[in-house]
Amino acid sequence: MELTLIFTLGEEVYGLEIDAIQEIIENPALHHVPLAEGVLNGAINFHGQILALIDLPKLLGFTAKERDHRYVVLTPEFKSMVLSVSGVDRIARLDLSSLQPAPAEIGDSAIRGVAYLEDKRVNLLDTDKVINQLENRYTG
Amino acid sequence: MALRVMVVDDSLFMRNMLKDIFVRAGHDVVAEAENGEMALELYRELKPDLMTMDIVMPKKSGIEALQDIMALNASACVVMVSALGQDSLVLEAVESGAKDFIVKPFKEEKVLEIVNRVTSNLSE
Amino acid sequence: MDMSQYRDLFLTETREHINNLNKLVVTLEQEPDNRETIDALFREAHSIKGMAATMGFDRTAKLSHHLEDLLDDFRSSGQIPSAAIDYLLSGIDILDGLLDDLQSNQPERAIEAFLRETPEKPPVMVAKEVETPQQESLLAVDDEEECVHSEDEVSEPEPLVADAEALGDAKDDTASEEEPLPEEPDAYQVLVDLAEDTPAAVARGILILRELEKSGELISSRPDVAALHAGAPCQQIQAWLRTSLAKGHIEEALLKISGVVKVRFIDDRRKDDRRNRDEGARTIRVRTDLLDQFVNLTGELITHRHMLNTATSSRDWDDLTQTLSQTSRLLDDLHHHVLQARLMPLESITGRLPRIVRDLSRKTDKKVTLQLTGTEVGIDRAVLEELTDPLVHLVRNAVDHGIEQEGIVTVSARREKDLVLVEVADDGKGMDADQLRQKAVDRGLMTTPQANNLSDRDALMLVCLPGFSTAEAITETSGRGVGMDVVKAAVGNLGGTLEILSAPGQGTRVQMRLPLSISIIKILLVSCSGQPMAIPITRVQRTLDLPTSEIQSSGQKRIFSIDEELISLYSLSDALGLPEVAAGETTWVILTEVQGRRIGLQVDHFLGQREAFVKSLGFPLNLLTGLSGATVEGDGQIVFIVDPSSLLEDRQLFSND
Repeated sequence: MELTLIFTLGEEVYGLEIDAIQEIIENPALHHVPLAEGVLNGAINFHGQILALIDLPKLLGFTAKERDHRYVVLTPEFKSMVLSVSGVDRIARLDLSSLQPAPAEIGDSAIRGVAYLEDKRVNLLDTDKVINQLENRYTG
Repeated sequence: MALRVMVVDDSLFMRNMLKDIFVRAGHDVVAEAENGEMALELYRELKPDLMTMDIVMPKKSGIEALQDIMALNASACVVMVSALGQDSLVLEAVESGAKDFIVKPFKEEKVLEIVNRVTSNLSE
Repeated sequence: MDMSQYRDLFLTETREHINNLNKLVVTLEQEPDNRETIDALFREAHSIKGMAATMGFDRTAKLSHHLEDLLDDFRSSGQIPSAAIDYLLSGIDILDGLLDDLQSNQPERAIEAFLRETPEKPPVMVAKEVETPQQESLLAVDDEEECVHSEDEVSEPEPLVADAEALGDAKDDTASEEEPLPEEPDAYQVLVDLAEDTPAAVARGILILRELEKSGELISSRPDVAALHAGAPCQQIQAWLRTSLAKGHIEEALLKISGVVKVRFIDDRRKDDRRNRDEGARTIRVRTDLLDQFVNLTGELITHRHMLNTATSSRDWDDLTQTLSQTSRLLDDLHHHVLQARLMPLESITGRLPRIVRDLSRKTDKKVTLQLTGTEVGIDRAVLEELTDPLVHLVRNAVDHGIEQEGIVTVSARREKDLVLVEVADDGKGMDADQLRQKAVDRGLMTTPQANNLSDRDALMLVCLPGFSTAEAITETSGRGVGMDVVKAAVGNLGGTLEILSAPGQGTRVQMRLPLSISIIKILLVSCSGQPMAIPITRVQRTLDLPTSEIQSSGQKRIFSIDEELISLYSLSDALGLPEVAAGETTWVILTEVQGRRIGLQVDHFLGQREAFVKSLGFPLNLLTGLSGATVEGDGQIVFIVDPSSLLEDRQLFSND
């Protein structure tokens, strides 16, 4: 059983192991980033580091506009990105030992697999794929 | 131009030496004084163009005499004659209005150089 | 006479003296009859008095004079009564406050109440005399003689010290010390050298200044009359003069003054220097051997420029390539030495720690010893400035919450490759990771499983969360978390890391790993669609304010001419994807080079120049072409550093037609 942050992107429930999370921050000062378009929502001065705020729902193609005022700061292993999500729910224990592949209808853009929490499906976020998508978007 | 000079020093040796320098340079030494009191009196009477003033003298010191003279005539041209190691006294004299100073032992040309400088400033 | 040019130096030096006073008084408290310490204290107060009087800061001068007198009494008795220690310390605090006033251009605060409280003269002396009258009086004579000696020592070395400082400072200070001078386009600097053996040099110096005053308007001089009186060396007098007289005429008049051996004129470069003075000028002492190395390197660079010229004109490409690579080695060398020059020992900020520990251990009724080791390690001046408060926080925490009744607080530093490790350690009760986990759960910061999942190391870091322990304040001083969030942020801001090592009963060590120097560049701050943006000075050829009417449109392009060259004008807002701001009568333009061609870059207006710490950008900000980094303003605002060349190339706004 792994401690997992449960959050939503649009109507979908997602999960991310807390090992990947450095901190959850509330209402940080957002600084405008020139040249940033689309999914780069601003920069955050996080203990002196200048980190990017990524609009995760938008990156992954969700049309919902709502965003939680709490942001997820990933660990340096995941480039310390700050993710904006539709809603931060809670931290729960999730059995990740038997992940199932994502159902075809939700695509596999950034999902490592699905697990179940009280019969609800939780998509495990694939941070590597998120990074890949960003790299593709901002290089070339 | 010949200057009317007054030499103030308690030592005759020094007075003579300075007097000779001035005379050789074509100036008139109009008076000599051996202490500050006498210097002040003679200054009132003669109003010389230039005075050389020893610092350490009996009765009235050179600095006191200088200060009295400056009180009479702020543009009086007084050059102090001091010994080595009297820096603070020289400083006081300069602050009190001395136009320049000569440090003993001195060379003839040095004295004339200084005299020329202060008197040319005077004429300006 | 304009004294304001010495103000910064005065403030810096006096703060150092105050630090020393604090340190010495604390030492003296432990060894109340240490003669050398009393003498040293006397000298410190004496120095402050001299400088403050020179500057015309009357109350500062009066207070330091008062302290000096008091110390002189103690010096005669050879001992300081313990009651006087507190009096001295509060006097030092007032001095410190006076400096704050002066620094912020406030009138000096009142000191009269303090002066009235003067403690009685040391009773020790009287007691001793009664005990053994005869021997004691003999001793007293000895003491007095010793006093005279030491007073000689006091007054003698001062000019030497001042001299050494003048040598060291003269070069690096020229720019900063000229600062407060008003703009005088026709002013120039006159350097008057005196013969080495000039008798009564001070009086001579005053005569020279007097001569200069006759030649025109003497704007300021170094030394000036006051400084000369205070014993400043005057081998050379630098004066800033505004005059209509010919230089030759002035030179002649000056050379007539006995003792003057050389007169030089330096054309006023203050207009150029002015650009560098956006931030309050700060002074730093540079060792002369380092300056020598600068001179040598500069000389070599000049030689290489000649070699490059020769190679270019003879079109000898091999030679050119070789010389270029030598030049870049020289530049690396120069860069290294410049960074060296910015290093200052850690001890320049640990000076107040002994006093802080002393006061705090008194207040908390603990017996705390402070140990400082490795404080000679050099750290970049800018890092040190930011480190001052965190260090105090950590030492306070160690005394307040680490040490229980008695113990040792150690501040140590050592080099670790290109980092400096600064550690504040105590041998107190240590921290319990489990308690911290529990507290985090109690605070609702995390669930019990989450907390249990934290490694001990991470659990200890919980104290760096804002407000983690302040809520549990029992006394006026709260839990160990006081300011730890601030400390961590400051260390992070400097590009450093913070780690806490602790276990119950094992004491606590807070380790800060800091960069030796930060990447510092000069930037031009501009406003672009109302947002501040930074452009490296190295990318700016010139700044222009053009009448908007002089800008012509040619099809889609805008063009202006400068130096008989037609130059295309681009908009920085446009290039950055920001809304366009229409120019008023004046268009503010940065002249820069893209792909070997000069272009103009329009901005809203210029905000000034400054030095900035370059911070790297987190992913994927680092992928945005055109942004080379960012710097953080004092208020936390992020300002991006724009590289115009890659920006325009990437945006394809720039075409090479």
